[in-house]
Amino acid sequence: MRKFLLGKILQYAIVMAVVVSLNFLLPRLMPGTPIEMLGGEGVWLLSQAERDAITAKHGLDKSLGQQYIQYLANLFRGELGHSYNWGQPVGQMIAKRLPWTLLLTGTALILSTSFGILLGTFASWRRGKKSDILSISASMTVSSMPSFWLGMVLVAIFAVQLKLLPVFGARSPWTDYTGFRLVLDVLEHLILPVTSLVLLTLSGNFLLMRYSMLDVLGSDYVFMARAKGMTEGAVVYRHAMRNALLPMATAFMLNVGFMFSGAIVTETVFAYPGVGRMMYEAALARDYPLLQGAFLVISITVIGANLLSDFLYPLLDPRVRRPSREH
Amino acid sequence: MTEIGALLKLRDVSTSFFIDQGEVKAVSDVSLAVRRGEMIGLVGESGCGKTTLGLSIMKLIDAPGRIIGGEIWLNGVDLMQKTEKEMRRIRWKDVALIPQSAMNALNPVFKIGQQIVESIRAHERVTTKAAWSRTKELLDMVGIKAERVRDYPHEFSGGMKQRVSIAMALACSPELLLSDESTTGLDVMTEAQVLGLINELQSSLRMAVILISHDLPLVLDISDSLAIIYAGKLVELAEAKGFAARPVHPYSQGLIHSIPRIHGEQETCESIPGSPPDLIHPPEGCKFHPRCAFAEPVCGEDEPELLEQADGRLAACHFAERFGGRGDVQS
Repeated sequence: MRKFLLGKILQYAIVMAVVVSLNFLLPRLMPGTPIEMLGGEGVWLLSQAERDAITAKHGLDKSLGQQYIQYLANLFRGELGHSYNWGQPVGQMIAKRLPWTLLLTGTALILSTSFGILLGTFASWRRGKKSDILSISASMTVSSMPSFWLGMVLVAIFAVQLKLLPVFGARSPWTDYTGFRLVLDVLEHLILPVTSLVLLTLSGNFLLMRYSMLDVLGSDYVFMARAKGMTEGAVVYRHAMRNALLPMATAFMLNVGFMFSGAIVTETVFAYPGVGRMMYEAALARDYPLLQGAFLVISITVIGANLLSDFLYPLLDPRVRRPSREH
Repeated sequence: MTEIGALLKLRDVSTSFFIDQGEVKAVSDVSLAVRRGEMIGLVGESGCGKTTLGLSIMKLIDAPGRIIGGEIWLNGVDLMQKTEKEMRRIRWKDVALIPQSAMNALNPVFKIGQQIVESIRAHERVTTKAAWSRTKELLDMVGIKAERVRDYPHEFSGGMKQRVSIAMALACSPELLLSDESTTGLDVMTEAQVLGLINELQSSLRMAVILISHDLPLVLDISDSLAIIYAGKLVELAEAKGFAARPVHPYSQGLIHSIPRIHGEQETCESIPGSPPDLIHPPEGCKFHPRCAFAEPVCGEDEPELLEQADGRLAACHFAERFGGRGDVQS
């Protein structure tokens, strides 16, 4: 077990090193010189001396190796550079927005997985019946809709037409709610974007759980549980579901990354003040330091989530926790 | 074979599977009695309905299958009259099963002990502690160290898993035990050990055991009686002792003659020509007649009944007397 954990940590350390290095290399592989990126359209007006000064100021006259060391040193100090567009430190900008994205994607992830498990179990139990076929068709239909369109439809119906929920943002502007009122306000703003993200990922979770349940329900050990005279509840929930959840744990891990990319579109549609919308804006403004910082933070979050679930998975599956001695 | 005081009595049990292509008559009109403490071998080719018959006794036939008729008397109670909820109490308590593929019959995420304990506690009001200590005794009985009670199935070898399955089957001391091809997939040595264990436990615990197998020589020596099943029908029911020398039904003869012999004269071992019939459209008359070397026109028209022969055995063949009269037919 200890060997397993050490191996995992080493594996993730390598992944992290690759991600950090890619983040360093990518902007340097882009066409054009840093001067053109920094100076924008007026760059041709600058003299050679001025160009050299700017290059030196940013340490870009040094060798690639030295730049890499400098980059790592900055990274350890949490120094991610300044946004071209807003002039603020990238670290601060991300720190301000990351909690919103975590709230949005975390909620969506938990709901999508839970609903997927519940619906999938239900559908497998009703296999081939009307409700099973109906729920498969419904989930296919919803997941085939583009997420930006789905988001706009939700806004049009629930916010604009029915006026039940706020149209955009994470909090009502010009208010200084506190305590319970604040929580309620945040939740109200959370409903539509979360729904949009959940609908986007639900069908995958639902179909996986349904398939996984069907697979397990047909297994010999579930048959044996029935032969032993266990109650229907014990057979389905104790014996079948416990095993059917194993692939869901892996899906959960993969969905962490997927949720972040989904958040870019969803946060933009709902003008939600998270990292996703910030990345969209940064891309439009060619704000490379900001983009780079956001990529890095998201990568680290996804890797962290994967590491966590890798540590949790053995708790679910004894075959991983205690590899066989006999074979 | 007397029905008086029998532990299990089947009367005209029929089980079919209703699939798109039609009705698969997996078991038709099987009548059979099993005495307390009797070891009976239920033998037939793959797909002849022997497993379906076994599972019908526990009423564990899933859709699209259904027991379409008959009576299943266990301990003087007709199980056909029992609801699913009542069946749940009967399963494992009165009749338990050693499954076909013990390799997969244990849930991979639970300790073997937990799986035995839960089967005890599903039927008896005992403390967890008492259930665990009985589980350890059960494991000891099948030759597994009690300390392995907290190990997971994947930590056991195939033969060991089969022993765990046997321990689990004995958890509530059932009077009737079904062993469904429970040694298939094990190597020959392990197979012999496991079968020996079942035999040993059967006599020490005075259980009735139905040994379902495709392997006649395997069950021949340890069974008290034999039930030969072909295309969902019983074709012969006889004492195991001396059966090899005098099989009556031509199908039983075929099974005996397909056994390679080590001792005695060099003989070619014969296989039964043809393949098992389509159970959706079974042949008219005797179901075996298309493959039978002795078939006559009547065999394709009338279905022979399972009738008592001179020596007390039952056989379903129009010419049973001819074969029964001559003990040395074909050998």
